Amino acid sequence: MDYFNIGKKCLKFAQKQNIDEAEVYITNSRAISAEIEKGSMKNAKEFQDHGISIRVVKNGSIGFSFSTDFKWNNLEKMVLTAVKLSQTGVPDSDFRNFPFPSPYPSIKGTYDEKIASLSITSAMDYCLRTAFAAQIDKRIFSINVQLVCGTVERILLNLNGIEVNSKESAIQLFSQITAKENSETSSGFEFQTSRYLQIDPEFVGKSSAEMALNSLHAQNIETGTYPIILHPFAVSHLLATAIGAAVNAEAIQYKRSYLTGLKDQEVAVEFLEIIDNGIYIDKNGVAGLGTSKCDGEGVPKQKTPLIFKGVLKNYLYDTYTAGKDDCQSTGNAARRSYRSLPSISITNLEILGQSGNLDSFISETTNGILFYYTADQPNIATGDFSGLISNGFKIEKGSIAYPLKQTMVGINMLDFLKQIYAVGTDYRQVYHVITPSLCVSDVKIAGAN
Amino acid sequence: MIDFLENLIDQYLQQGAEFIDIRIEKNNFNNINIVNGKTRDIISALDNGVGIRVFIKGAWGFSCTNKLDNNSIQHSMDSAFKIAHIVSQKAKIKFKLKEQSSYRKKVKYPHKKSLLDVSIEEKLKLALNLDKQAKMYDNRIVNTNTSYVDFVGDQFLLNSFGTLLEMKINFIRVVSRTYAFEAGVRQRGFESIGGTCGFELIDSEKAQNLGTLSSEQAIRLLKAVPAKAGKFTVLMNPALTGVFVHEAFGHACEADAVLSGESILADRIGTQIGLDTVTIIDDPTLKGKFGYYPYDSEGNLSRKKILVENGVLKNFLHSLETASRLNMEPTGNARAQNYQNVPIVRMSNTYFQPGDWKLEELFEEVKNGLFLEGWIYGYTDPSDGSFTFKCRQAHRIEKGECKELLRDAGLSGMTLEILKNIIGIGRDIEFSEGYCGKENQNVPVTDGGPHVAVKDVIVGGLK
Repeated sequence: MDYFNIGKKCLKFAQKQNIDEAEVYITNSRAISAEIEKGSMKNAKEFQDHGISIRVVKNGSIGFSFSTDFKWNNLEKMVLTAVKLSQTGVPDSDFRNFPFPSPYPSIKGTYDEKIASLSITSAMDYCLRTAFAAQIDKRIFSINVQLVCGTVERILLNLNGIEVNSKESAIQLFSQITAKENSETSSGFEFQTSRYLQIDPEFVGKSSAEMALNSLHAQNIETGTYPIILHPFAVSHLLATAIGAAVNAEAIQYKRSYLTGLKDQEVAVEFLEIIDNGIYIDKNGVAGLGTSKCDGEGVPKQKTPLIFKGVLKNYLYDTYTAGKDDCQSTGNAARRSYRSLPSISITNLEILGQSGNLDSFISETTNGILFYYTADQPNIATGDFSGLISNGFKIEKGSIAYPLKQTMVGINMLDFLKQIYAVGTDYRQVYHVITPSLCVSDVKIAGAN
Repeated sequence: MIDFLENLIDQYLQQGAEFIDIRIEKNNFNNINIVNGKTRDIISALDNGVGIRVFIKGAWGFSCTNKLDNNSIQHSMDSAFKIAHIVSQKAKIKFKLKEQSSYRKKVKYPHKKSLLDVSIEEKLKLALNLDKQAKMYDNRIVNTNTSYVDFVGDQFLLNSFGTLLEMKINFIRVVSRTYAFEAGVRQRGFESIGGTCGFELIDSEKAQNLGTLSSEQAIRLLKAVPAKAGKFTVLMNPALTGVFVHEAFGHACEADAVLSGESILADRIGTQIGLDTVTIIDDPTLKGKFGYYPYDSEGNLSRKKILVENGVLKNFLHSLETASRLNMEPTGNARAQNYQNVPIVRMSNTYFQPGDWKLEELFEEVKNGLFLEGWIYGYTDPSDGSFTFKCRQAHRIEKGECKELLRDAGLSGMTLEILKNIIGIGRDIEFSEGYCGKENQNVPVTDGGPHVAVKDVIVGGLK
């Protein structure tokens, strides 16, 4: 299908409808997945999804509609719906304009033909290898594995002359293990994501099984104040919200973020450096999951320093919020598909380290906590975080003593950022965050004892 | 079209498929987002597509597309069949699906005022008014966000048991989020209302005052102090009881978790798992509730299930597959978010049955502890029964009386311990609606229950 010309025809038709701005976004994606349940192949799926959307602006009011049907009468209806919606809304003088064309960075490493052509049989094979690698002990009770991969072609056109297309691929392999001994159970997980077909099923299987086994026979600990060593899983989960969501210019402008008003102020330890890197390429030439030449509005992606020498340097903008603050968009308008409007999001959040790694931090800790993961999130309005440590361990005299049961951690994220005393160099890409392990002193831990 | 689809099913059954279902959807939805009195976005769209599943010897193949011409549907069917065939060659767990009753029905979700008959202008006016109401409540409200969503779908479901369902689905939800700020303190308010009904929902008192209710909460919390961490006797309000029943207990009752070895309830049907005052129910037949549906996404008739009766575990929630593998009956709990997803085991309207305590008696029983109200989010690990919830607000209870307001209290515990540590169940019941996420699918649900007092609960806080 000639998506480019269909998009142009929609734009031309919109232009005739007494509007100020229009933008067409088309995505065409294909994905496959395969799943293992309790060690046995269970199902596989194939997804095909293409669609077109239009954003229309009249007096700053945005109307949006999409269609999965490319017949012209349906596309006409889609355009007219968006036009009507834009005329119905409240005029917004804060809206400036959609972006104009500007040079894009040259980005490689976002698309791997091997992912595009991966067969269901090969996807199943990766899952089976992962499950096999997880069978390291008779206490491994349940093995669940899922592989999802796919490609997406994106086309963006607007009336200001932006015409851009791109192709991306991605793969994720996830393993979830339950271990059982007598009446006790525990769980562990591991995963890898990449733009390229570069995943290691043996690592994913074995590591998830080890985490489940190591988490058996969890114990309660005394409530108290401890240093905590955070695995990259925990760091990425906390900072994606506490930094990533809190520096979103919309949250700042609407005063929803605890970082409101703190720009150019010291918010973290002097050696902490965090950047949003929309053009991140790893040392093997593979792009980050948030890397591409432009964002969901056609603005070039860039590197934006967020925290430098402990000082909050920037917020993340799309064109609307940038217009309100009279600055340039940072290229952070994210867009999953034609179904969704752009919204501000991190691209690749990079936490830059100094020295050390998880093992060295543990060996230097006399009495502390190894914090592997939490599903809880900080409250970005207050910066307060209180959450359950899922997969955590007590550290005694430089080594792991036992896994933790029902242990909660509580700290305000501004204190967290100021109490960081070490940042490692053992980087991991955890979805859209690239981070090493790090250590925080004097954290309140609530145990069941 | 129907003849073409039924012929297609026959054709692939003859080639070796053991079961096939086809779901065709034509979904129409509106979404209005107001921020600080301005229309942030207004969306109106049509989303059409088909999802096809094929089952062969313990394995499933699935394919979906949003191209609805006969050639594309035939291609999707062929793809799902081939995938099922390939997977079945590697599947170690073999089983047959038990044949179920077939239904040929046309079903319409109840409504008084059709969502299609209300103009987008009127929907926008409602959202703008509620947003203004939230802003006008207090000058310390610094940000208001009001969203309106409605959905009308024409959905066709055919399966190889002979089922042909034509369902006209409708639901509506309005949400108000507010932020208050004073003297360096920032707090959030949240209120929502929703149901499987028409625009008449907007006539309710709660819907008319949604902005005020949300702002009231945010302003109230400005005075709250951080909760202290530790072990407490707590009183949960109905909204929190509801989310406990759903998150901490309901997910462990989902039979797919039982089969994958991820539920603590796996071998416990017929055993006492809680005090004999505990009864828990899942009921998708409650018309108007957000989790209502007459047939599930596999075409099974929905019905009320008693999950726990007087403390004894009675039932799991099933799909066609889990019921077949565990030699039980489907419960009508297989739900798919839309045609792009396969049906998986889900809850509907899940609630804790009320007891006979008055609210003041519960406060007296707790004596010294915490009154925990509402929730921001919650999650659970069904494999070991651990859960954690972040409460919207809390109060300290001293000598049976409600004292100062607290913020950022989170409770955590082991589900089965909570069910055994209950010391009183209120006679009231309230429901709240929301979306439940599982395996990247969100479906509308309702949770409910009374006030419930529990001893020895771990509460996390900042102090």
